[in-house]
Amino acid sequence: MNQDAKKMVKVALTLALIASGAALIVSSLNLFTAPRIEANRLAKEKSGLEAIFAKAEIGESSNIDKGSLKKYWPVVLEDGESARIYSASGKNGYGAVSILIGVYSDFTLGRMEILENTETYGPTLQKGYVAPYQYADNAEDRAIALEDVSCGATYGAKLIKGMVLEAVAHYKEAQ
Amino acid sequence: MNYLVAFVLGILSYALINNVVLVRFYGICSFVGVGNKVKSAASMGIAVTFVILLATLICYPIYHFVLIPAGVPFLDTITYILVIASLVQVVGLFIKKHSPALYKSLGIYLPLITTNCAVLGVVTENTDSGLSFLESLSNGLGTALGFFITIFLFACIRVRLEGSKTPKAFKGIPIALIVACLMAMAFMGLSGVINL
Amino acid sequence: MMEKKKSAHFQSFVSGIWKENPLFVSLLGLCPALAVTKSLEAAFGMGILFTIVLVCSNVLVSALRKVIPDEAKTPCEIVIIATFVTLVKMLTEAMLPELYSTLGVFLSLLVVNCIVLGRSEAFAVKNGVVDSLLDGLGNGIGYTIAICIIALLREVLGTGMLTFGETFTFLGGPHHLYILTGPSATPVAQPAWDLSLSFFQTPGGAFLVLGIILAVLAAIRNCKAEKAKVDARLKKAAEAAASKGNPTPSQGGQSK
Repeated sequence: MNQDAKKMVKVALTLALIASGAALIVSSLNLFTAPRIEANRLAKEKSGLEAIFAKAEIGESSNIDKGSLKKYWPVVLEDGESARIYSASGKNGYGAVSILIGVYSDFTLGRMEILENTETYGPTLQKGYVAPYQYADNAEDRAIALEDVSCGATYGAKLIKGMVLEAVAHYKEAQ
Repeated sequence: MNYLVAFVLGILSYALINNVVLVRFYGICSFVGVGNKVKSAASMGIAVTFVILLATLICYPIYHFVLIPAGVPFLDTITYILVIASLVQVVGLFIKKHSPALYKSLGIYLPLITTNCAVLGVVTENTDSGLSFLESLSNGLGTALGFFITIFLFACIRVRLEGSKTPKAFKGIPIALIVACLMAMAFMGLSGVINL
Repeated sequence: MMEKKKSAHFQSFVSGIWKENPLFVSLLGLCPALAVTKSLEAAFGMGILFTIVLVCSNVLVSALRKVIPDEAKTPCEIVIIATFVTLVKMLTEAMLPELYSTLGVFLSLLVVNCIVLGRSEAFAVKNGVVDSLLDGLGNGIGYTIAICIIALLREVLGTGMLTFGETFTFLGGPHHLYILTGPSATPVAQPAWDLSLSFFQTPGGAFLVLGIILAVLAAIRNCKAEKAKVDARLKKAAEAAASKGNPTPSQGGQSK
């Protein structure tokens, strides 16, 4: 019994030592990587904002907490018209998606950028929904691309459509 | 009521559409390794179900009430694997004490569960996608159910395969993988059924 | 003596690459091999990270093998592996965010990868640091080659082209190498001709490709075994003929 107890203590001690060492190393690396990860995220957000409305003036962001909408940026376009970019994130049974949505002042949609997508079928969403929308060069094609969604053609489609509608509704309300 | 519907639909979608083995590719090793005897496949399925459920129940509070307040969410992987490994040990001891017959049939599969990606995959997915407790639970239940269904069906098919004439090069694992391919295609047909 | 020892080291390095390839021969680590092989780049990245984790954990487990008591062996190995996986994960997220988001949860799942735990349990706890390092390197490279083969087939058959620079953004903008399809103006426009089957990008395609690769390898093995059998029989017959009273050198020896 005494022997057993000694053994147990030894095992527990080794394990605790290794685990605390591990925690220490990971934490110290985190000090180094956490700022970089945050910087990466901001850079991605910034490049997304610039990709949505090229050559536009992007103002300060304001936070919203309504449904899936997180915040928005007021934008002044090249020709002086105003617009908004919404940041929205949501999740469904297949994972989480966060996107940036550009909305013109006549409530038509600009480009969309995917910031994060942990879905099982992540690439399907990009290829099947966002890309056709992005490359549609007239309003009709764009409407078709948006309509494709409601048949559940892609997994995140319904989720994204919900976020887009929320963003448009929010913009309408604000005006 | 709405929550209940979402819960049940969530379970079905995780079990059938976002199937753990055939779509998300968790736990393929045990899927291929165990799957040629129906009885052992069923035992494995039950054991994994049990561990996934317990792990989901334990890891959710650990992440949200210990790791996040302590400011160390990056330690999640280490914590989860320790929880799962000790859980498997405890479950093994418990079953051994209370039901030696069950232990006899489940025993050899218990250590394998620690290295089954399905368990760690589910708990990591829960925190990565920021699922709520109810959603985590439906993910856990659905995944476990999906694992059981797939591994059981696969074992049933492989029993039939043994008696059939397969080309020599395809004997054993290769034909089993082709069967898994056909199963994955069949499960793909369910993909539009539940639209979350 | 020195020479012999060197060759033994080399043996543990080489056997992991081909003769005991962890994926194609031992059928371990199937989950990432099927899940991240949609594109060659992602598979290559996974292979490299896998090799790093395997080598580091093998070395540390082997270095600590005399310190850790037997009863605490497996939990300690798990903690060591989990630590390296977390470190690699954090570094990837900071340095290569695209690769991180492509691999997703499968980076964390390296912790429960049968090969990593299996190598440290079966090899590193019994062998010296150098051997463990070479063993980890050999197995890692073998695994990387194996998943790259799967990914190459799946990407070419599934999308008709190879894309570089999408996951490794430092290569600069996506470069396409068209193989089974003609170039298209935008990612959504129909190309002039297209022989790809998007089925190979789906989960079913992953199983099919792996199954067929294994069958081809089995066929090659069967062929070799058959040939060895025939050779042995010929040699036996020739020897028998030779011992019957024909002392000239037998034909069997030459045919081999």
